[in-house]
Amino acid sequence: MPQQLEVTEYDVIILGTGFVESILAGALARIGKSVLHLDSNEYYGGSWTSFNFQELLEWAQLLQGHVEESNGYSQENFEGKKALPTDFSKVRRQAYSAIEYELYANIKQTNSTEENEEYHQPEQDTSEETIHHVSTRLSNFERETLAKLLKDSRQFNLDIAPKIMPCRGELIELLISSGVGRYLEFKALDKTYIYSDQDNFDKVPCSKEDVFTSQTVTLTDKRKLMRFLTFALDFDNSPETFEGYEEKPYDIFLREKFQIDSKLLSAVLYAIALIRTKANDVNTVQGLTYTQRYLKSLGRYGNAAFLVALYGAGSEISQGFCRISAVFGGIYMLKHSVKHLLIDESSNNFTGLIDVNGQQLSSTYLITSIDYIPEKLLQENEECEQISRAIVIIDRYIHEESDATLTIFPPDSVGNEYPISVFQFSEGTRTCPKDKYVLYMSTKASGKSAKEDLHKALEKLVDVSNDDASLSSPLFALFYRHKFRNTTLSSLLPNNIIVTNDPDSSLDFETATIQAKQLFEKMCPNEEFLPVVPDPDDDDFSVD
Amino acid sequence: MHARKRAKPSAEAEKHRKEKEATKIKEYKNLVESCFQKKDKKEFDNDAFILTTNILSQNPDFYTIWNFRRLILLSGTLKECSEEEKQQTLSSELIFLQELFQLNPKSYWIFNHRRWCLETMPNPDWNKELQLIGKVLELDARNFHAWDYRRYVTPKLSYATETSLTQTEFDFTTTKINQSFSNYSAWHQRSKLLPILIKEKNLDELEKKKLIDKEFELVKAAFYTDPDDQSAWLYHRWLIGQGSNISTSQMDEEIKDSSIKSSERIELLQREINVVRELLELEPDSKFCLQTLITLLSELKTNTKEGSKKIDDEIITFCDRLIKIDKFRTKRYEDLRSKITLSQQQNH
Repeated sequence: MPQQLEVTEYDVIILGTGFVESILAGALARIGKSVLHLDSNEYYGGSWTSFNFQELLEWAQLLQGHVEESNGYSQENFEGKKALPTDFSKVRRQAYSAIEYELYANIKQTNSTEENEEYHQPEQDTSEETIHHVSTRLSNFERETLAKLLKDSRQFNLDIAPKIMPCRGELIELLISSGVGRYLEFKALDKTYIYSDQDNFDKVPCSKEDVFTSQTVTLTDKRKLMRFLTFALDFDNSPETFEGYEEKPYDIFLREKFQIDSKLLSAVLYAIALIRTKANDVNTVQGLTYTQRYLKSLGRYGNAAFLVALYGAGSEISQGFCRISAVFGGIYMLKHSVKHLLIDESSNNFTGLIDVNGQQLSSTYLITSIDYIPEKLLQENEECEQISRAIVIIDRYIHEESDATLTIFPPDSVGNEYPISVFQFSEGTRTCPKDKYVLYMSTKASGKSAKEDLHKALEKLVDVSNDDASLSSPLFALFYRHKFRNTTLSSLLPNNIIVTNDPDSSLDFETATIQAKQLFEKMCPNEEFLPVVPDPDDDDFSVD
Repeated sequence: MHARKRAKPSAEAEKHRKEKEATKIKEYKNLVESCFQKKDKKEFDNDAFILTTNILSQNPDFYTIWNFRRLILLSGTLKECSEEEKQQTLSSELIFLQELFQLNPKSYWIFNHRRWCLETMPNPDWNKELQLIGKVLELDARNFHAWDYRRYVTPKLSYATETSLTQTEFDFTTTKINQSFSNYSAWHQRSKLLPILIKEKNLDELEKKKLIDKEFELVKAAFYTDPDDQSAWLYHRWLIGQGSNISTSQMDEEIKDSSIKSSERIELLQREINVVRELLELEPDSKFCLQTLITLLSELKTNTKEGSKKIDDEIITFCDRLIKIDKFRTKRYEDLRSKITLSQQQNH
């Protein structure tokens, strides 16, 4: 007899423990709503999760496999209501495409015989299984790399939608005010590089100190950049400076009003404003807003504009909000799938769902990630943005030793249509073991595949051909593409089903945090969004 | 805790606070009174010592009490005691000072007493002092007491270890300037160290020029980054030096071969004038740019025969601009302008 829930009626049922759903779970439980939070996966984080190495490999294999037939739940009628079947695995898998992974023979490792012996003793049986599964096409050297990575598998926390957090912004204020920040640890990301001509990477100067010490910025450019940065930090107070440029492309404004050009222009657009598209797609007001957000983030936590959450950001932050939800009575069940959503035929309202055990659970609202929406209500949006990503494990840092760095390839610098961003995280961020580094690459999709979009940039960062032992070389690379299915869904969708977005192409959690806040305010217009939770360590703490 | 509203204290709480404060003031006054009584009676005993500790913990700027404390130590504990005991007593004084320092990092008397302790103790640890003051400058890079103390400590350490610290200290200023160049103390320290560095390294003319040119590059980067920051301009003016002596005047007193020197000097002046002129083009309203140009041009005028009319005219235009920009000093620029006009009239 499968476990049945005692309580079958809730204010809100939430499907998926992704970032946006988790914030909402926390916010709703916090104001006293009864929350049931389910996830078909056996882990937290949904499309925002992080995997250890073996899990990542298995996830990639799963996505590479054929899309299976539907899970067999068919539409039924249930006590006078429409029971629409959900098909989580199938819908989820459709969001991903162009999955390719590669293992590289590592000449540096094979020189060490002592370590070699370790490779042949995988710790777990499952490792051997995984090796066997992928190794039929691998050379001996490649197999060695795989065995070594699998051995350290659990020291990897690899984000499938890696994101960082500005030191001033929506998310950090929410983490502070809600108290969720107490559950998390961070490292600073304080170095940004930009790829320039002649295969050089220039350190991007952002603060006054950076501008002063930068060897690559000429004297005149130092002045122009400083003048611009001083203006941008406080641009709302001098509207006369950008009058007439509001709707014009940002790059034209920078060129004409501040004489910022060529390399400096690229740095401002792609490494400071962090534009993720082509320059002329962003107007001056947007551009200034992005720039200001970056500049305001500096100086709060040292000379860093961004923080990186340890142990895999997406999964850790989501769990933090789930924890607040649980503290305030939210009920959690992972690896718990949903068979049907129940829709009242006359009112076209969601009334409840049938879970994997056949139990009927009802609620006033349903919040869900797109993956749980019945196919019948899904409207495939061919226009939706796609993001090409790569997770690359390398054996030596690029640029310089650091917990976290960001590298930007401006459009057209390596045959790329859109800017490519690359995070490098080290052991310090608990992303990978010591002496390994992880590159997270991403760009808006433009070419035929994720690999095509990103491989040229990868070649500039590491020695892909593995000829030179003194250079950083890759051990493993996974390329994939995923859709940003935003919530333009079928008009048939009941009003009381609230759908959250997938991770977008931006580098941080800001748009997602804003979505969570807006959805909450729509549901509970007069309630406070995640008010302060008393600190149990505080003397004043008392339960009312 | 972050992000919590500070509640406005109620009238009652405010009254309570005032009362508490009043008792504290009374206690303090009593302490001071008893301490002065001891002092007048020349009672240099342990009770008196404890009184000074209590008072100084609350008010480290009370120098009379520090003086009394030293008298107590000299006529009491430190009199006729072993070297070890002496070391011990003064070490605990240093710890006491460190605690007070955290309350008030800018008290002259804390540093004064610290110097006295170290000079009085048999085995002062100057290296530890340097480490300590390095930490202080991490907390506040512009604490000029700390910089002054650093200038006091380094020669002592250098003497004790028989090694020169000039290069490492010079590099220390570079680090501090790179962290934030708006630091008058760091630039000042640099100006103190540069001449010594050149002397110690026994640099020939070419090497010396190279080193000084590097300084010009550094300061140029600073005022191009922020022309409104006076600290860099001051260092620039120091680098240029004053009068007819070639750059950094202090180092070259022995060389007075003026004919060669003056041509080099003119070259330097013209180079720097061009640098500042370029910046002025980008920042036409920069006060420090204009002021620097006036200084440089005035000296150039005394060194060259031809073109002095042109220079004068330019200085007058700069004065006019400064009168508009720098309202607080209009009279000063008017005065300068009238002097030039007057001398022009006399020459005609």
